[in-house]
Amino acid sequence: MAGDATPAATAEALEALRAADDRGLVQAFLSGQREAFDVIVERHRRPVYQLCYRFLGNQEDASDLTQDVFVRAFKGLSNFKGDSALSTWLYRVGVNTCLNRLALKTPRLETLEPEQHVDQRHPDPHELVARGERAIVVRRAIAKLPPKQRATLVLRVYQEMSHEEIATVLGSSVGAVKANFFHALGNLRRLLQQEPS
Amino acid sequence: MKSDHDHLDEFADMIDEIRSVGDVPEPSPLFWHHLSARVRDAVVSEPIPGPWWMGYWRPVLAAACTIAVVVVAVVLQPAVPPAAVTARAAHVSAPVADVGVSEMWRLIEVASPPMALDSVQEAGLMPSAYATDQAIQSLTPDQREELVRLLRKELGVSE
Repeated sequence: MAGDATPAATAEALEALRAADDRGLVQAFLSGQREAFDVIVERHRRPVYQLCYRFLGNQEDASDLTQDVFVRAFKGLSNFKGDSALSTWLYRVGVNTCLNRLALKTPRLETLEPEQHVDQRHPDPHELVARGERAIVVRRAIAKLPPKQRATLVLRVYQEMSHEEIATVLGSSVGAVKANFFHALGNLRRLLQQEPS
Repeated sequence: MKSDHDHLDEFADMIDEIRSVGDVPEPSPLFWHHLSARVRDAVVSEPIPGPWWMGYWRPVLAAACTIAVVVVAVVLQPAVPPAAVTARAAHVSAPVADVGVSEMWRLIEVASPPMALDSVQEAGLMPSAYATDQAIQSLTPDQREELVRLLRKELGVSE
């Protein structure tokens, strides 16, 4: 029993779990080791949070959604059959959670301070500000894309996933992913042309 | 007019620009700690689910028991002498009263827990149309008569 284990034994068990690969962690979790899920969260929380942030554009919603993603993953991990990487499966849960949220409400787009995304070593402060403003314009344009195109763009450009991986995450064909990506770029160009540069 | 090459260059520049604004502000180290704690609290009362295949064993076991009982019943069924068949044919209109309550059916009922048709279909245990035809052909005239009677009864069709 985990409750009867000494702190040293518990720490040792946790270290063993941290050394295990994702597949081993899933097996350990499904066989009753709750701590294995803590390690899964620890290992994948950053990319899942980044995915949610890129969909929702603000820390508050991204934080809530990340929690939702892991709660859903906890309940649904028995459905993970190991056909893909655990990270891909988690992205799938993440994208579905984000798309559901976007369908319910439009999130507030966080206005980043220029120093948060512009190289501070830049010598020209005017250019710094201009680049910061342009970044806001681009992020606003991305937020206006239809959900599937936005998901494809985020996964392809930021998460650097292949078309095949994106197809697995979105549950669509590779052809549909390529088409969505192409349409996303076309729409983005149109939206950026409408914005004052 | 722009060529395909120009469009590709334009898209490549746009992808670079999108990438350059994609930085996610790094939360504090405490944020990650709190996030893990919040997830842990949210699932603390949730039971750990079993492996995906665990959901399948019950319908598969039930179906396997049913099939085994049917096979045993067919194997142990005594051969009907031709004379008996002729005698029974004379009373073909009389319903066979004991089929519904026979020991064999009781045994099948006991051995197979209630199971939805969907579960049987999901388990891939539905008989093929060929198997059904073959089973009907192997029935005796009395059995066929009884089958017709039962089907009519189920469908609510009067004789």
